[in-house]
Amino acid sequence: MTALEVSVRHQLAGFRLSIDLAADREVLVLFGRSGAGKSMALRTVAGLVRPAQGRIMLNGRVLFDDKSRIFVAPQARRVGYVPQSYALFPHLNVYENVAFGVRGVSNAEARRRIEELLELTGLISLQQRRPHQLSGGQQQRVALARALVTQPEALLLDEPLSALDSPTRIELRRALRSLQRRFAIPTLFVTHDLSEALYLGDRIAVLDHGRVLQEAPPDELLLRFRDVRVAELVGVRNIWRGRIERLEGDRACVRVGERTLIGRAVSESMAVGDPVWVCVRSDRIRLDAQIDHSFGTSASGTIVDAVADRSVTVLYVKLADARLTPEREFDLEVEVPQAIWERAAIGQGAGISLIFPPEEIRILPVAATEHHP
Amino acid sequence: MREIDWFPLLLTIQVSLLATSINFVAGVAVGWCLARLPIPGREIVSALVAAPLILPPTVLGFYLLVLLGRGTFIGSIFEALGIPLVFSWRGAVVASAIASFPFVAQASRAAFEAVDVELEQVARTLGRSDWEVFWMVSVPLAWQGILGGTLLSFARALGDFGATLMVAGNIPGQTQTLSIAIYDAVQANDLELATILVAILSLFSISLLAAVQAVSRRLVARSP
Repeated sequence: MTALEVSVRHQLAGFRLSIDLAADREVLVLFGRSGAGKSMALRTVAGLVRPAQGRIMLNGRVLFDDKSRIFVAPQARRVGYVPQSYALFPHLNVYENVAFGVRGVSNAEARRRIEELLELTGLISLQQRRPHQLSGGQQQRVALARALVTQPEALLLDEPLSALDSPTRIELRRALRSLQRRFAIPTLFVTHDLSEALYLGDRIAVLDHGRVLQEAPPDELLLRFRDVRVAELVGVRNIWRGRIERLEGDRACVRVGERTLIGRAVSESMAVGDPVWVCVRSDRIRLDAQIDHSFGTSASGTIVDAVADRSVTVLYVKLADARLTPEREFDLEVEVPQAIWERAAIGQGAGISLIFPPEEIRILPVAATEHHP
Repeated sequence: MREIDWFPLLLTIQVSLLATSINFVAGVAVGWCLARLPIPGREIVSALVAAPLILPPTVLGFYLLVLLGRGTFIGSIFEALGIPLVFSWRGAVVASAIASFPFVAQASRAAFEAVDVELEQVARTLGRSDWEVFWMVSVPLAWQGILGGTLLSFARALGDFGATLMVAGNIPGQTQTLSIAIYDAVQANDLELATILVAILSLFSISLLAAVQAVSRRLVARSP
């Protein structure tokens, strides 16, 4: 039995939520753009939104079931919820905020629990302060301590780091990870930030327009995305429209622009002539000194532009002949580690050779209703 | 120094305090409902609540007589209990309460609406009942607005004339409140008495308004 199981359908004016999620004692990241339904999914689990249909189970308890008309009120769910704004009580100090949900235990036990959480979140010295006297990161810790002190059976975090500056964010996500390991409760973590999702998620569910497009562990999601929207969201920069020319098992030859690429077809229902998406991560295209003329896997081109981005350099490459996107100034993006780029000692306008490894090129089906965004 | 009958002043204070107490409880409840419950036709209900502000006092008094008079259903109940409403000081309480009700109700509604719903929602996920959330979150965050409205309501109740006169009448020593006593004094050409009573009422009302201003200034200063 999975600790937390969520399967709900809900219809609002102009928006449909239809999600199925399951989380054990792990972090399940709900990842997607704003408006994808992530926060609403979280509020549904917290009991702040009542869905039309479905079922929510937590450790064998039914929290919601439309068929047996069960709707457990937020008070009785034993679920810790931290909204994006943190929602600290402005009229209470840090200690009183954390103490807010502690009930039904002796004063000594309450004090012990509260102090344990203040200690764990590094708030002991700030307990007399009011929320407005705290930094964003400190406020976030108070919200977390306040939720955890009630010994919830699940934790719901809505964009908990997005309002913070970058160093605080990196420090806090580390703290968050160790707190989650310590409490070992199913945790739903909403974010629109890919690196946050990859850092914190044991599994990542990609949400779009109220649906889960794909759910997978981080490394699997990055490499084995099954949907072109997922590819976009996990940062795949080379996505082309093409048509299948030939199929051999899961190998497909696809016509893209003036060139044929070889890749792996992810769906078994593809046929010759089908329109498809051809996707390849920009860090999976290799630079090569020698042009390998084996069919479809290599090409030569010119560097149109080179932009440094943290530890990598992004090269915008225009192919010399048989272009992929003749209408654009460049055909594809290639990511090169900064150190390698520096050693190569070449720059804009230089000619390079590329290898498209067929196992890194993913051929995805085009849905009947789909348009390129 | 002439002998002054202090009865109207004492009666006015008694009536206003009682009316304000009733308004405090009812006004906070109505204000909260308007702010937080999914009431169908919310703005119509809100307009009804605000009506005493713009209705002529005589119209208000007339409605109350029709509702609470000796022959009416409600009136006969109170009559049977031995505490008739009309033409008694209790009628003055009802009249000034109704006339000053909008101040508490509207101020409470605005104050509750200014409380972030998310705070109340989080409080519920922390296991607190709706009643506890109301007392531990909503009221502490809204109290300045509620207090301001209550003081205004008290000031309004102190000075009520028309509705009180219609419902409670002008019976010296029984239902004659301060503002009615002023009217009487002017009619009897006793300007000295009128001046003294006017001075007292003005001082009271303006002090209350100053208190309201102080409360709302603090409210503004505290909000981020």
